Amino acid sequence: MKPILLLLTTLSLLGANELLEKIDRNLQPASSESYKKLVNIEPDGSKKTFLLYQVKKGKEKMVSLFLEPESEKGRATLRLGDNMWLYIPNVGKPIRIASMQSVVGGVFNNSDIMRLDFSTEYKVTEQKENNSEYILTLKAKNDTVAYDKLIMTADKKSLTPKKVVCYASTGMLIKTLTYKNIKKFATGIVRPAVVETVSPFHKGYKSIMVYGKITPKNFANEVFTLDNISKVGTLRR
Amino acid sequence: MMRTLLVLFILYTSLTYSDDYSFDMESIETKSFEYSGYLRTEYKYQNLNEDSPLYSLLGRDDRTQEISLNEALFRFTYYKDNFKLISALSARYVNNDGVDESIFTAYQLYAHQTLSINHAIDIGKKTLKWGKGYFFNPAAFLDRPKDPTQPENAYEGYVMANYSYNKSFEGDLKNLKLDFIYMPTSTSVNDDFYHDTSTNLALKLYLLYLDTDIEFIYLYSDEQKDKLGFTFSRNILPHFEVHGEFAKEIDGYHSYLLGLKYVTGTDITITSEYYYNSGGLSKEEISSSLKLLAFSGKSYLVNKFSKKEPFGIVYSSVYFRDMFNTKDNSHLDALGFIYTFKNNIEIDLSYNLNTGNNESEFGKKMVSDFAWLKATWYF
Repeated sequence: MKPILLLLTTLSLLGANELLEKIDRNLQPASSESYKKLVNIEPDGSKKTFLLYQVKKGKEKMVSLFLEPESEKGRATLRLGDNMWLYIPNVGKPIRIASMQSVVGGVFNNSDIMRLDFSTEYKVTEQKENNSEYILTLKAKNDTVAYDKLIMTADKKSLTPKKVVCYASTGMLIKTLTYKNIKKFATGIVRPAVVETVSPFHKGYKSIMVYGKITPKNFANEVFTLDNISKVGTLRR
Repeated sequence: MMRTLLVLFILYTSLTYSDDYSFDMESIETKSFEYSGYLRTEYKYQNLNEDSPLYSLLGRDDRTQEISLNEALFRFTYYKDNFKLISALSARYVNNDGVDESIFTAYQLYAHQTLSINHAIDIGKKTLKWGKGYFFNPAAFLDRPKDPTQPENAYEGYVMANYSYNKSFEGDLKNLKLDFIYMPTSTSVNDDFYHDTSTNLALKLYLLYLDTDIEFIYLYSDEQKDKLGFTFSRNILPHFEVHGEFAKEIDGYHSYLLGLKYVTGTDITITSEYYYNSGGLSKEEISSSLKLLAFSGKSYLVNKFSKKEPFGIVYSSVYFRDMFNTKDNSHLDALGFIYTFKNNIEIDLSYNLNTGNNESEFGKKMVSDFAWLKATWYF
């Protein structure tokens, strides 16, 4: 009886991992370019806005370029699997960075901005559901991932996340991401256009990520190299 | 009255909401050109060291000195198909102890042509910034020396032609890049690299192998000694990076650097580097010199601790940096605070202190300590 139960659990989790991959594909095509706006809102209501251009390919390649504000303009990040580099125009060369460091300040850290697919970094360890939602418990595949455990609540109809709660390996709550405003983008992609983030480490602060444009597009592997990190702006043209 | 206020409140909150949650598609339209840069003003208030040999030599009788620097840096890039024209122009006005100086420099001005996804060529004045070190770069053979106290500053490049081949792979070797550089000198071009006519050719091979950045460099010169270089950088843990450089002049000096960057659980970034140069000045040579070039000693240990968002102040950081000449036990320490305002102005205020005996590199400096304010407006 025990082996049968184990087999059934394994089969159901295999299905759950496929479900997670479907959620990933609904959020963003495997290879694409996108524009995002980040707004950091402070407890007194004051704000700082960042504009980001991102290019992603497959499971482990991503480059980002800050277009605004002027103090960050030209900063670019490259992620190749677990490797992350930051390029600052004045410094003039890429330097390796850690995923938990914050490039922009506020609630977002590097891995939030340069997030790869959930299914690349996490495996499903538990799946529950109710009438309208799947509740997935995700465990980081290795210790290079910023958050050890995620509890994802996904909408059954759109197969997109509604909420993701992020925990450290100690079980401590790090942040909560709320996905909002399901929108049909011009390229036919239907997904939440807004991700709100709050963290107990930044009481009273809120960060909003707004997707402006997502376009499926294929890029050469050489786009995701140190040589290209200072030339990401060229891809927009 | 209450109803009007309520309507106004709802209108205000909905406008605020739409502003934050909306996306202005015009903001992502592209033009054929791009520009950016900054205006910076710096002010140093310096206390003088009356025991310094230079203080006596210059016959000074005052206790303090003031220095101001104003700089405008303008970056402009023009795009046309696979061609780019890249420039970075700097204009500086310095007032050092009442003496004015204006300096205009083209840091970079070069043409870039992408020949294919793998091949590209750059011709003109370009800053290469080779090496993996943060404060020192012994393997940056074709770069002007950088100021370790301001490692993130832009600086001037050399006139050169640079062909590059870049190729990605799947597997342990993820990326290979080959750079071939031709850099001539004459009495009017690159004359601070070599004062007369010379031909310099460099080859650099970059590999991203087993998640490690690795570089092999060879520099040939028909007038100066050839040089060999090696650099590496790797994250041994997500929050722990190690890097190093080795440089060897054939039949001449050798130099190396070992460094690390470690991010603690409390988000303190520790950057440490040990730098050794066999051609640097010994303790005795430093002791007998009146005026020294910055960081011309044999070996240094630099440790920098920086903490982002201290006391929950977003967009700010505090730092402490110790630069230590290990041969004569002298130090240059800095304690500073950086804040970036929402209007793109950044301020960096620091207190800097030279310590060591009167014969040591930092102890014999004419300035004993100084307050340094840098205000930068980015555009």
